[in-house]
Amino acid sequence: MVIDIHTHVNNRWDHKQRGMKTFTIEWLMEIMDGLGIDRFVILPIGASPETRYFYSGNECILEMYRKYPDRVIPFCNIDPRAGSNSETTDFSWILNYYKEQGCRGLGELSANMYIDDPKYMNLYRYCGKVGFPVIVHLYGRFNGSYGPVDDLHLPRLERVLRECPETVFLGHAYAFWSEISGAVTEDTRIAYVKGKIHSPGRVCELLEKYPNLYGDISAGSGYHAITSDPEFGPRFLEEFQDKLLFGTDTCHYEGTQGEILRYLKETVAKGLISQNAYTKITEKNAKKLLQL
Amino acid sequence: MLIDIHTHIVRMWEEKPEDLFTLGRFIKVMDRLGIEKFVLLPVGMGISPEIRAFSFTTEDVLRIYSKYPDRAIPFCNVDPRAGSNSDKTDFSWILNHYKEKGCKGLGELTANMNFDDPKCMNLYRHCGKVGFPVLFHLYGRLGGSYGLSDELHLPRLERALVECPETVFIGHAFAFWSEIDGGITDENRIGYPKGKISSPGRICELMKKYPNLYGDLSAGSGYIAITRDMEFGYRFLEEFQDRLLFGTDICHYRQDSEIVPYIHDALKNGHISKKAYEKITEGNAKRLLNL
Repeated sequence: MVIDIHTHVNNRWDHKQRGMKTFTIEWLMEIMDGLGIDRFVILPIGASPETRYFYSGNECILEMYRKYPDRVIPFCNIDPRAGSNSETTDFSWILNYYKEQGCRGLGELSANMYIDDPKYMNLYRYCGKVGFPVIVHLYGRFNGSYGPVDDLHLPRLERVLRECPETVFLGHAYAFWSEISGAVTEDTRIAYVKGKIHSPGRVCELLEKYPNLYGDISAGSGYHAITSDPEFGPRFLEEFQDKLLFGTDTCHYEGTQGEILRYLKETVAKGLISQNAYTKITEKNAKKLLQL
Repeated sequence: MLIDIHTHIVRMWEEKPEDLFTLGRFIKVMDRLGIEKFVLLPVGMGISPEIRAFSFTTEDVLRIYSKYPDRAIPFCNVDPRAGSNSDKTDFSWILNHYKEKGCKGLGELTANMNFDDPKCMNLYRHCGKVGFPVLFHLYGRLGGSYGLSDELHLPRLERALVECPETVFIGHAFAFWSEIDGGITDENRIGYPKGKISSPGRICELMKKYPNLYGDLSAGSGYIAITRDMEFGYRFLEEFQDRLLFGTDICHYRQDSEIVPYIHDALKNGHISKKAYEKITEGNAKRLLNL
C-alpha cells in the first residue's frame, strides 16, 4: 500500500482567469489512481490568510473523507492566531472536535510568523496533547509568501523541537529541505537543492537528534533534496528510513507530482535502498504516526 | 423598509449542535424584527483567523444570496494578509470576481492588525477602486481579540481616511463607538462606557471632516453609544442622518435587538425626523450600496 502524506484540493483565486478548470476531489482521486496511491492525506488550505486560494477548509476536507473514507485521511488546520490572537488561547475544544470528526493531524501550517512565535508554540503544545502531528511549510522570510519563518540553519525549529517534545513535526518546503546540505547559504535556502551534497546539513542533524522531527519529502523541494545527488539521496533515505514520509503535494491536475514515487520505485528496484526502507517511507511510517 | 447593514450566520467554537444558527432560524429572526433586507458579512475561519468562529465565507454568503436575492445583500471578505502577506498584493482580480457575483462591499474586517498597517491600506485602496465600502470591527490593541486596532482618539483611522479618499469606511464596535464621547479615556475605551456624554467625541469630528466615514449603529457598542445619553443620541442621529446606517449584528437566534424598537420609538415620539429615520434605516444603505 502507498500512502501520500501531502495533497490538497484547492483552487487559486485566478484559476478561471488563467483558463484552469476547478480542481475537485474526483480529479484528485483520478490522479491518485493513476499513480497507484491507495490512501492520501488531504490538507486544508486557507486556514491562514497568507495564501492565494479559495478556502478549502476543515469542513470541506471532512466532507471528502465522508465520501471516500477508505482513501481520504483528513487533517484539520487551525491558525495560531485563531480564537483571539493570543499565546494563551485554549485550543483543546476545537482540536478535540476535529479529532472526533476523524482528523489525524494538523497542517500544513502556513501563517507567515516566526516558527517559534509564542502563538505557534501554544498551538504546538495543544497538538501534542491531542496527538496531532503537525506539517510545517517552512519559509525563510516575512512578506511575499506563506509559511512559518526560520533563519539559516533552523535555530528556531530546534527550539521548537526541544520545547515541544510531545509534538511530532513534519518538515516540508524549501527552507526545510535546502538544509539537507551543509553548504546551504542565505542565497540558496529558498530554492531547490542542486548538485552534489558534500556534507550533511542541519536537517540530518536535527532528524538524528530529535525523535519528534520527521521529513515530508513531497513537492519539488523534497524531490530535489533527495535526487540532486544520486549517491547522497539513497544513503539519506536508508539512514532516515524511520523518519521520512512519502508525499506528492498534488494540488492541481497538471504537473509532475508522481516523480518522487517513480524515483522511490526505481531506487528500490535497483537495490539502492532496501525494501524495508521503501515500505516504511511509503506506508509504515504514516501508519504509525497517524495511527491508521 | 428596514435594511440591516450587519448580520452573520455563524457557528462559534464550543457551540452545541442543537444551538446551530441555521438559515431557517436566521430568516425567522429577520421576519420577527421586521427587517426586509440584510447585509450578510462573512467572518471566521478561512478569512481572518482571529475570531472564535467556524467559517462563514463569501461563498456561503453568495449561496444564501442566490436563495434570497430580494432580501440578502452579499458582502465579500478578504484579509489584508491574503494573497502572499504583502503590502503590494493586487486584490483587483478577487474583488472584481466578487463584485461580478453580486457583492456590494467588503467586511467585516476582523484581522487584528493596526488600522493603518501598509497591508490594510493596500486593501482599502483596492476596495476604493472597485467601489466597495469597507465595514470594519475596531478594537483597541494587538492581541486578545479580533478586529483592527487603533489608539485613543483614532489617529490611525484618520490617516486611512486622509490617504484613501476614494474608499468609504463604515465604523463599528467598541473602539469606534466609545469615541462618540470627548471624555473617553484609555481605561474605558474598550467596553461599553455609559452615562452622559461630556462633549462630542472624535467620531463626530471625523464624520464632519471626512465624507468617506460612516457609522454602523449595530451591536451593543452602537446601541449604547446612541442611548447612553438619550438627548445627545437623538441630536447625533439628526445631525449625522446622512452618515449613519441601521444594523443589528444578529449572529445568533437567541439574540435580542434593542435598536429595532428604539429607532421606531424615536420616530414615533418625534425625537428624530421622518427624513432622518428613513435615511438611517434605508436611504443611506441604498445609496452607499447602489441598491
